[in-house]
Amino acid sequence: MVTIEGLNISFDKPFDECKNDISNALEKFIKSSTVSVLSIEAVGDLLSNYLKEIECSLEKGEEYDFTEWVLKWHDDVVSRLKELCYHGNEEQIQTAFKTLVQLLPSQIVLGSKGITFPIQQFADIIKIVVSLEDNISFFLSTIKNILIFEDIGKNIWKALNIAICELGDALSAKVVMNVLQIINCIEKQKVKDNVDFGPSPSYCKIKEGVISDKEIELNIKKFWNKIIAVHDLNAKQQQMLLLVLYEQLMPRMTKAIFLTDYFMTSLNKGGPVGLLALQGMFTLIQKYNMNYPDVYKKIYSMLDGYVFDTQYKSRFYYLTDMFLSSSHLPEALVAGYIKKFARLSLIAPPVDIIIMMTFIVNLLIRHPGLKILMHRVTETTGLKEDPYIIEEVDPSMSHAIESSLWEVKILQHHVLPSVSSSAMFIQNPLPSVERDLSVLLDLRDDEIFGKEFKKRQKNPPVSFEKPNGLTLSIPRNGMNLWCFKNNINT
Amino acid sequence: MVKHKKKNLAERVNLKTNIKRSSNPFEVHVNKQKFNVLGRQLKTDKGLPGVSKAKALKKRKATLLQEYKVLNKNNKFFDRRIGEKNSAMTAEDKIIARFSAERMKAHKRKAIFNLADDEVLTHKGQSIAEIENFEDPIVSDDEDYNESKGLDANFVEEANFGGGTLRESKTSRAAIIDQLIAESKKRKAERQMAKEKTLQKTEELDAEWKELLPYVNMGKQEDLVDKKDSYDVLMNELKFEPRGTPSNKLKSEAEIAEEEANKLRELEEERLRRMRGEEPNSTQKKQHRSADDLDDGLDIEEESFELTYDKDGNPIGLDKLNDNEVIGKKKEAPDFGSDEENESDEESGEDNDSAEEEDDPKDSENADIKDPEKDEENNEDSSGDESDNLSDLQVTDDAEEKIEVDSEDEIENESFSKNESNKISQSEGNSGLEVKKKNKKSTKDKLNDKDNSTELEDCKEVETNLEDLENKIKEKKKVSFSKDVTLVTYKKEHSDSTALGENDAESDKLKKMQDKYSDIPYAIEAPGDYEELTELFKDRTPEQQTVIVERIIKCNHPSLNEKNKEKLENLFALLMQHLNDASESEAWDILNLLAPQLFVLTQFSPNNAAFCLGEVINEKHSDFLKKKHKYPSQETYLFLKLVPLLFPTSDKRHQVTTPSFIFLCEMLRYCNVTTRRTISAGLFLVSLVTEYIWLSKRVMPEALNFLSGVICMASPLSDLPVLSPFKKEHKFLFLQKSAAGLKVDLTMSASDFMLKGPKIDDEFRVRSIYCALKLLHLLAESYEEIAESKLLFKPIMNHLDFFEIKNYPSSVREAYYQLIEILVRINNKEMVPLMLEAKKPKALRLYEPSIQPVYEYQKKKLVGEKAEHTKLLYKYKKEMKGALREIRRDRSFIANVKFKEQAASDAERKRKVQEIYSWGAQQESEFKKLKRKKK
Repeated sequence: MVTIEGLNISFDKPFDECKNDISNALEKFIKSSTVSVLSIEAVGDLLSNYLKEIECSLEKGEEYDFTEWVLKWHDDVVSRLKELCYHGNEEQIQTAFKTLVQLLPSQIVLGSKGITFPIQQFADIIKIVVSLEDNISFFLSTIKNILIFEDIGKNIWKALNIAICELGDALSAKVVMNVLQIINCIEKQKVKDNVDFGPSPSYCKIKEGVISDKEIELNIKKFWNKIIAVHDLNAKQQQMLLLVLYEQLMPRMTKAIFLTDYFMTSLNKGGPVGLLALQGMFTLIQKYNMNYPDVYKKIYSMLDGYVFDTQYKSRFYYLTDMFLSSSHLPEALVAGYIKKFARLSLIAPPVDIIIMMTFIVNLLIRHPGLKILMHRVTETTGLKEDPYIIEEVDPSMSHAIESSLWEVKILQHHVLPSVSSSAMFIQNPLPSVERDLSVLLDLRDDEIFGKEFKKRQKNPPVSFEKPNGLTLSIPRNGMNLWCFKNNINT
Repeated sequence: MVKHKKKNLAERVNLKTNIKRSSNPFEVHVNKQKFNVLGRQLKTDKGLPGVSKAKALKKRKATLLQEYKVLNKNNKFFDRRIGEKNSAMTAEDKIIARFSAERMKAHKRKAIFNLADDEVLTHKGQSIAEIENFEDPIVSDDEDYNESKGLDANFVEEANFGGGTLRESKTSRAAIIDQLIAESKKRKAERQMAKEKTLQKTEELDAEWKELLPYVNMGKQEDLVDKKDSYDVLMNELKFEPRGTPSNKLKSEAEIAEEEANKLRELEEERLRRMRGEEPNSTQKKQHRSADDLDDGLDIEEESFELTYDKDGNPIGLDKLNDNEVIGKKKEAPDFGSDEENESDEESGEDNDSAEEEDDPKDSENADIKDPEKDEENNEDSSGDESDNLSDLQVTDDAEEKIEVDSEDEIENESFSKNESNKISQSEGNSGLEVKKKNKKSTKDKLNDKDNSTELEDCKEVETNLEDLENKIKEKKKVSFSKDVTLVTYKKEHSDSTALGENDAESDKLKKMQDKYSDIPYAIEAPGDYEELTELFKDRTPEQQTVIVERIIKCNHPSLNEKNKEKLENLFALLMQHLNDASESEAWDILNLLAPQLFVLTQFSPNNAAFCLGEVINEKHSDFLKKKHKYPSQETYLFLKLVPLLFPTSDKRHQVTTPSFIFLCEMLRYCNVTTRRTISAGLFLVSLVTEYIWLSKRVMPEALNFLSGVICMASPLSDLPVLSPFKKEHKFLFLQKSAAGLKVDLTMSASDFMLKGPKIDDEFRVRSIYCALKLLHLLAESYEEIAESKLLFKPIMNHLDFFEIKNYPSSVREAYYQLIEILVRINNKEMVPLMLEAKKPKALRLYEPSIQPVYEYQKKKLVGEKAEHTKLLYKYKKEMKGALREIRRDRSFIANVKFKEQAASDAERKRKVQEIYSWGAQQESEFKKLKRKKK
């Protein structure tokens, strides 16, 4: 018993008799303007059942009687479902979308051109998602579920390309966001390992029509050009774009060098976008032999107080460490970096201070000539000002090499014991082994709290002055600026 | 021929060595050396083969050849002629010697038979003659045989007479004799052992006896004392009766003050050490006692000291203790029981008052009004109170406390009047106090009966008597205390100011207070859970609540009962909860009043307090983490404010204060600053920071960042970068119009950061800017000591440049210029380039030759048995080689000899044969001659 749009269909009778009922019901389904969620589901189930039966009979080589009839209705129903996806209410859209995805494999059976992957159908589905205006998290989960199949995982690139092409030249920022979100669902390209798990399952049971890696690259290139033509992206979206580009697209490209322009423009934007672009640049320099002499100036300019707030802070520290890991850099440049780190650490949160200190120690170890920053033997007794010019853009020109690391000395007085001990290195000869930075990059503020909180003392010292109310009988501290007594009348 | 020659050669060589003539170079054999080592002396570099060969040959001839000659011969001839072998003797000498020996022989032979001439025969150390004279020697002999020698009769019989044909002995005679010898040896050894044992035992006993000796003597003395008559006993008692020693005298106020100053100094030193992050040294550790240490007066180190008296009855060894009177006091306590009690009571009474005076002025004002029962309570735990007050956790007070408690217990048990009379007789002069004490006793008894209502009436009667007395004492104390505080400067200020402030209002408040507290019971059980506490605090003002807490603490002082400590720990946790739940408007008042009580509780059990407060902070922190960008509610600030009151914030690392620091850091960094509430909350936190770091002068970048952010908020023209949580666009604190004429109360108030505060107005703008400037000033003052601290203030300096001061009232302007002044001062400091501390120069390596004795076996420098073994092995090898070589040469020598013998015998035989032949031939020829003749 199935109910579609108020019409009950029972399968007790022979098929010929049901046929009319079903036809009527489907007719009503297509025509009616308000369709219930239940009936959409029922139609989907009905059709996929018939299609499966047809498939079985095809395999057996038998001719199924109702193929024609089913095919006729199938096309109508699918177009009706698509229509619903564009114009229905939220529930309808979701159910119709699910049904479409459900019906996707059955297309093969009915494909006129033989047995290939129903790419057009798939592209239509993707297009629906891409052009949605509101939150697409529901659709993403549905897509993610089928993305584990190999054919879907590969053909999605082509489908994306087709969908974007069909949407026309002017893409909105929302569309781009949706595309990026879909791409983000795709499994990251794995490093080819020799272990073969056998053929991975495919959704449509058909091998033909699944595109090769080369085709994927072509498709990516095509829709990439479309995407970067969009200009009205906000910072969040740009970050997303860069992340997707770095994590999903770049590994799938053989000639990623053409992305340089894009990375350069992003890099010049600074902030978190710049940070992410830096990572792309790093990959380009590392893997594609790109030459970018100004990269050190660029990173230097990116080192400012805003670094501490960005989401990709540890990524940036990691990259900076990588860029500075060469021992062939000029000392004046490295000294500029060291002084910059030192200055930044004066305004940085505790975790960052520890990282900065580690940076400084490691750089001093790498460049023994810079020991002069912590030990300078001169005739002149004192300086009026710090010779280091923080405003200078070029680290090599900042006169950092004439300065000393007073900042580290100040930080030895930091309130947190872990921070102050990390700055203690300035007093002793440098160690021979560099400190491990990677451990620190994962450190978070609340972890520091937890660590300190767990440290128990056997007999915690107590203060020995009896407080007189709120003041600790200290004549001059900030508490004198406050009054707590007469505050009841607000 | 050759032989002859050789002999000649050997002889010649011998002659040569004797005469030391230069050797013939052809006879010298030189061993070639591969490497020449300078200064090495070799024995084997050259040798004289001919000479050595001749030597060896000669030796062999003297030894081996002789042996060979007597080989297979059983008889030997010894040449015993005197001097025959001595080459030094001439023939005549020999003859003389032989002759004299002959004569001697003859003479000796005669002496053999002269038995009693010069030697005395003995048996067992006694001369035989004597034995014969007195006793029958056989008896003793027998005895000896049986007992000491122990050879049994059978054995003797068999051994001595068993040789007959009738009895056949099973063993041979030799075996029997061996057995005999063995047996007697065994006996002898046994005897020896027994003797040794006795000796040892004796020694042991001696030693023990020596140990026991003093006790035995003591016993004797006691016995003597017992025997003495009652007069002597009395006299001795009087003689040994403890009298007041210098150590027991009442301390003058100056002394007490000095002592306390010393204690404070010690504590301060320890705090400084912790601030620098050094480990506390061991002695300090030992002296430090936690407040919860219920010291029973036992100190292991001091245990060995015994109070002893010399002949005159003067205590011995007390002068040593005089510097540390406390210990002496403690030790003497049992002896001086009543006296001590009296004194300590007096002392504690005073202490109590003084403590009150200092702790809580209000309290002391009303001390007399509250009633004697209360006083009594105070008195009871006054010593404890005092110790808390100064956080002095040393042995002294605990010991005193203990004694006091003991004595009071006794008093309770003993009959009342007797006790009293004793007291009167012993105390000198302090009759007033005595009266007071009497009253106390009576009230105490009443208290025991749990009759609270009647007690009050009783007390009021006494009250009037006591009032003036106590007031006197109090005044005295006040004076003394101002003296005592000279060491810690800020302390002095505090006490002065409070004293000034309170004195005026004192009298008016007095009566009010009396009414207020009259309905609070005096003995309050510690609440078990939170509901009980809320029940207690229901409808009470914060002041009353404080009194309740105070009374709970006093009723449940840890020294009264061991379980009380747990109760008070529980109370601390409950009070934390109470603070947490306090209504927003009241919370600060409650904290203000409760802080001293919490402090007292903390002193009782620092561990528990640290744990509780730590947990609270942790809870607040995890709440904060859930909403990282919002300032938490007021309770959080309450607890953070409480931290520096209870725990030292100057420590490098502390269980409670370090997490609080981190919490402050995070709040200042993450919370959004957009409203009046958040701005003032941030400023409050920065003020807290200044309080936290007041002593340690540590740096917290977040505080400076926040202040620069606030300054930036007020300067619209500045587009300098500001760190989060601030934003460049936010200019909430900008004064639109000049507020120079505005009259503003410049102190910030806690109401500013309550949840429902008013919006930002100009008054608030001025106030917060003033606060920020002042805080900056404080921080600058703190950091002025840090070298090159101008780098810290650089960002703020930039912000201040954009700040427009002219719109603000004059007081704010003044603060601003003061700030600028100090910042300029910091900025003008010279920057000294960093230099590593100069290391001690390493001593140059000495290149003098190291002179060491050279050993023969330098390589094989082994020790112990192994070394001995290898040495022996080496020697053995060497000897073995040498021996083999000798044997080889001996054999060749013998072979040579044999060959010669053979050759000689062959030659002999040949000669004989020849002779025979020749003889035969002669015969033959004769025979033939005859034949021919016949023919």
